[in-house]
Amino acid sequence: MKKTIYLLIPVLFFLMSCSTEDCHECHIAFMNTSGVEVEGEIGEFCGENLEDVEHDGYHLDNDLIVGNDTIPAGHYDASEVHCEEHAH
Amino acid sequence: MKHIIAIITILLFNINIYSQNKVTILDIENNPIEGVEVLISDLNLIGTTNQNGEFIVNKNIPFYTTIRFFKEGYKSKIVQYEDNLKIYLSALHVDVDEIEISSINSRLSNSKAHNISFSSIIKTKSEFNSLGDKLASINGISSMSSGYGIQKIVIRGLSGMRVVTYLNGIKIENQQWANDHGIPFTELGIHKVELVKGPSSILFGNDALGGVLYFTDEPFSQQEKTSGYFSSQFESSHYLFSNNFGLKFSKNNFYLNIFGKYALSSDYKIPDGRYVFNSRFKKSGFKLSSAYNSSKWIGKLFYQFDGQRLGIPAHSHDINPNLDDLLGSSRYFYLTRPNQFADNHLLNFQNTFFLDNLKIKIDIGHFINRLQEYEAWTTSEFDLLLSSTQFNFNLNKPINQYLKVNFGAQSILQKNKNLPSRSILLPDFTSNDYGLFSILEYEKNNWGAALGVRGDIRKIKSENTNPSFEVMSTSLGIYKSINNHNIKISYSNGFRSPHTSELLTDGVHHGTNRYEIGNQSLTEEKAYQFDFKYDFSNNHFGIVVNPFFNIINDYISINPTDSFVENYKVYVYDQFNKVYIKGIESNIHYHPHFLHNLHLEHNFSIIKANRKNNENLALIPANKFSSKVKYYFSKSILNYIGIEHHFFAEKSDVSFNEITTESYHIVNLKLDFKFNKKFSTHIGIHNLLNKTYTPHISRLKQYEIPNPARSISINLNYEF
Repeated sequence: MKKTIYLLIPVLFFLMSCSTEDCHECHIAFMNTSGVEVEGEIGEFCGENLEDVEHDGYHLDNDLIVGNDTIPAGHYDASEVHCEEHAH
Repeated sequence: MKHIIAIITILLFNINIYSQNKVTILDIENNPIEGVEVLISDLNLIGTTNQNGEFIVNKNIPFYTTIRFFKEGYKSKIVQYEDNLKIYLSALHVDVDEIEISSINSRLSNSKAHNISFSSIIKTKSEFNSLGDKLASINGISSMSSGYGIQKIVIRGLSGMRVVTYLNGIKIENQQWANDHGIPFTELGIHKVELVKGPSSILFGNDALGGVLYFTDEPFSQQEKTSGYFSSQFESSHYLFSNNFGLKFSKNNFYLNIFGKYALSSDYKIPDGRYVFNSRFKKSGFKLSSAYNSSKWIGKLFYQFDGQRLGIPAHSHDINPNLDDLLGSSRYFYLTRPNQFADNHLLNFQNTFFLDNLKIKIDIGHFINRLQEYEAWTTSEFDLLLSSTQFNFNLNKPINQYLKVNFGAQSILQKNKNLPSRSILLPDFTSNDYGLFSILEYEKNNWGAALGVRGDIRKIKSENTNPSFEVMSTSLGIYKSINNHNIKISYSNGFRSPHTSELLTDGVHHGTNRYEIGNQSLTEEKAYQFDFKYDFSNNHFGIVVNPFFNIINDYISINPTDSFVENYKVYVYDQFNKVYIKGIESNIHYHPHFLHNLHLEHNFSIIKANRKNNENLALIPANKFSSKVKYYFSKSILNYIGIEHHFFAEKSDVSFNEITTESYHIVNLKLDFKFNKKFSTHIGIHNLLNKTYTPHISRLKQYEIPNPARSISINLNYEF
């Protein structure tokens, strides 16, 4: 019995770690008129949603104001949506 | 057909009655020398002499195989095996260059007339250093790196596709065209590296334009009991933890070595206390080598896996990113994006047949490299599967006492396939290389010469183009020894067909942050090197001076344009008519007679590379001047203490698209402890003065991101 419990503990840990969903903050990388990249945060995406936004891109319903810049509403391709981490 | 099968069966499985083979090693006063390392080259079998200076082995040793004898403080020797050999070793306390211990024990050639150098990794096994850093301690070699994660080797200013890497006889192909695609294996189980500085297409064919790195695994043990080691390393600037093991076993004429490694590193720390974001990595490796021999055949089977998960530092979408945007205030170990996943598998089967005085080598190997680069989390930017199947044939026959002929053939089939990913940087292709060569080697008294000729064909097939390249290469080397003076003059020729990446690439390369466009009108690069080498050594003093001059025609270069695609600067491939690379390397080793345990070494390498119009070439390392002082303690657990000083000169002769680099000094300290025969420790302090510096050829030079801060490394090693 003891042996079975010892064996089950790592299996449970493994299963628990598998069930955690992978979530990441994403942003639209928008080039303003001065040629400087503006990052417009679009929130956290997890699992299939993350896969969709990285594959199909993102539709911004309303203009997004970032500092003095405005990211216009519209569809942004996957290449314009970034979910990787930057230095902080 | 029946006869052929019968002959092969006899060769492979002829069971001999084992005789006891004995070799005795004495000094010049006829005293036996204990602890001499005896390496049977073709079998890669190692052992040591007993207190009577005897090396006794109850195994079949093929005649005509070569044996090397090495012991610190003695001049190495290599001889052809025969029964009851008696060898005399003379004292030599200085180890000036790769020459003395090197070309005499080359897997590549035993002729001193070839331009082959040598470095024993095992000599620095106790020290903590990455493979790239170990190699960069050799004169004329540099490492292009971004911390310990991604490292590439530069030989006399040339790297990437111009430097060929061999591991146990098989050419390693790992998309080495890019600066961020580093060495696809670690120092795990590596015994030594033989090095050719400059073109060497005679032996290695296509791509061997800048030089060759030829790695060989640790030898098998002759002891019929399990031996091995465990080692643990820690390095403080990367918070790098590495654990390795090795096991060796032999029974009758069967030999087995097993090695394993796991290493984990965080972002590395720079001298101002910040961290280079995403320079973290994980590396794992497993290696299995086995061999079987009869008196006329040696068969060796190798399998190696290497897995690397490498962060790509200095990632930004800005055209001119601020340094603060690339550095972090804390270190992290977890894998983030962007990064590289590289998995490498090598399987090869080496055969050596001994027929009378004829030696035939047949190597068959298969190397698989899967390289994925991720910027998104759920899908890769590109996912390339490159497989390379190789066949090498080599026949070595003495014509008479002085003259030897070496004939060889080589064939390499490469297939590159794109697996599903977001973009395609390099299209699918197949590439076939065929080469035939012949080398005549002459040695009489203290004279020697080697003359070689080779023909190569490369055929590339892809969807849009099917180019082919045909090239002839030649080489000539002459040496003369007078007492302790050796002079060698060599001319060698090399070529490199344009790589498919240079012909066909068209897309964003995230590892380099640029949009790259190939050029289908590129032709072969051809190099012609003249190399002069003088060395002298006696018991206490040694010197090597090695000037060289290399001319490269149709040098392929990737150059920036004024255009941008998706906010990435566009780079296109082009060719320069003529490039000249010239330089001098020197090494001096002094060992005072009155202080026998003290060793003083000084070496320097100076290099200059420019185009015909005097424009400087990019990515040429700064001139380097190094001094080392080492003191060995007798009858103490402290084995030695060493201090190194490296001065890198200012680099102002830069290319139009480079920035200059200021001079800097680096000081390192080394302490080596040997507690008993089994347990040893090495403590190293790298960058003792905590100097902020960015090497001229650093991958992170364009952002002026410095190399690691002062770091302490500890290596614990237990052998059994």
